[in-house]
Amino acid sequence: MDPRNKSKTAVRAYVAPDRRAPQDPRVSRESAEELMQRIVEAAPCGMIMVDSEGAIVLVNPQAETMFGYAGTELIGNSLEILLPERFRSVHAGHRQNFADAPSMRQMGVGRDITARRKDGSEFPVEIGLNLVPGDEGGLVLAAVTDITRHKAMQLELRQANANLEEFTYAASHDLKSPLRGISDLVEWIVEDLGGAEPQEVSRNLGRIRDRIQRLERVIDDLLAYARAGTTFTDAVQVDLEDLLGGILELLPRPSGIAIALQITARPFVTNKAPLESVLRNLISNAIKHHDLSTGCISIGVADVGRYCVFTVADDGPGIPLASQERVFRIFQTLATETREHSGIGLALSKRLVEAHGGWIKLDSTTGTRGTAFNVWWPRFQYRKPVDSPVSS
Amino acid sequence: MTASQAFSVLVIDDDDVAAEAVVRGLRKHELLCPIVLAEDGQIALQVLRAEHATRRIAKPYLALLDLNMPRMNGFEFLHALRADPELRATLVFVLSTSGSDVDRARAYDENIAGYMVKAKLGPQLIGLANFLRDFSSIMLLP
Repeated sequence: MDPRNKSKTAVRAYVAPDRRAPQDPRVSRESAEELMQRIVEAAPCGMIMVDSEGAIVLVNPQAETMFGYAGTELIGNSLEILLPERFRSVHAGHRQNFADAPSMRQMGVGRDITARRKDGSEFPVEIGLNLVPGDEGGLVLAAVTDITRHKAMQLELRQANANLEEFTYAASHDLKSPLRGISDLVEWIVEDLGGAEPQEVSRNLGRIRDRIQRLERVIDDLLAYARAGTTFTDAVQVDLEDLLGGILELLPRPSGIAIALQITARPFVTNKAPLESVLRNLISNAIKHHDLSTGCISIGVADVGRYCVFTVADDGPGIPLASQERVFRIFQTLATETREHSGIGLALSKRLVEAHGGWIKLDSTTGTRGTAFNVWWPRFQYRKPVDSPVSS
Repeated sequence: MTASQAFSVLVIDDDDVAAEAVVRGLRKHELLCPIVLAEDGQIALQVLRAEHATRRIAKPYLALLDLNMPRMNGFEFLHALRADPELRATLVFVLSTSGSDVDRARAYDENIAGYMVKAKLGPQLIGLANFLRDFSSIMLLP
């Protein structure tokens, strides 16, 4: 709050007039105070008010529970008893700084704040501060939230990410190197045999080579999957005709398969590479899995609210209901010929779409032909949060 | 002496098959330069400092370095190399299985001359052989 407003009303709140109450200004003021009292008591976080000296003048039941004190034990005491001993003197300094330049803000943006319960145990908190102007320097209102669970989740997430990174690293080195070695050894054996080997040997060497290639692709796909959504390229203006035209041009397709393109969506700014890779995958699947020599793949792009919705629909065999759930899982392929499909495509697409705040949905009904995938891709990216105190 | 024999190559790789692949690849493409092998960073340092019991390398030379090795890995080797006033000018090419951005950035930070991904060097490392031939015919080595 701007300090210039200090002289105005202490707490400004709009209170709907109580229809039953007489229009006596004294009564309506009392009921306003009562309402404020009830708001503080019912607030979903701990509320603590201190005077300019740092003495506690008000606590709500949530704060009592959080800190393990009865309100009567706290009132009149210094606020610093709610802090671990090691932070107390520093905090008194922070409190003075706030008194010198009060504003509505989060306390300690960017660093962890630790609170102390009556029994001496500590817990992480988030604290919002505001000045309630009044006599003798006014009062400071603090809204305290216990973020123990939040912190625990954050830690878990950080560990999961670290594990994934380690896994990615191990996969790219410790799996790939020996495989490369095996591949080289097979080549040398072929060289050394010089074509004099029995047919069976030569056939089996070919089978080993196939499997090496497949495993190499699986490792590359796994790495692509693990990295998806962790690397964001810069957002660029995407022209949808250009984007889809470019994809279709590079995808080989039988002459009997027609493409029907309908674009009503406007161009928008987004990360082009992941969007392109999702669409390429869906269109390529529609072509590859088509079971007839003639068919049609309809591709639509339309604006729906804050999303750009891409539809890729084919008149191919369709996906049985029982298999629909697993198509988005990693290394699942419905094709009988597994050599060309590692089964990563849809899992990777799903991850890419979700990493960008969208979602992907499959429409295919057992008994009828045809599969349709809908991709909901946000037309707008959330702006990065501004890491600065909020002033009123 | 022909251009292809005007330098020696130190191959630093713990995987004997990977090291042999380099030797075979270079020989296959008629690059007949002397090749010395080192199974990890420490052995490589011994060779370069002429402290190794059996292996010696003649100047001028360049090193082909794998990153992931036991005992002293590629990054640790580069660090030790750049800290050694006698060896800091050594020309090092990283020859890695991974094209990871992080590895690449870290390696270039140690002033490597280039970063190659093994899978992209073509059959029998023809890309590496051609590169080394061209490189050595144009460049004056330290």
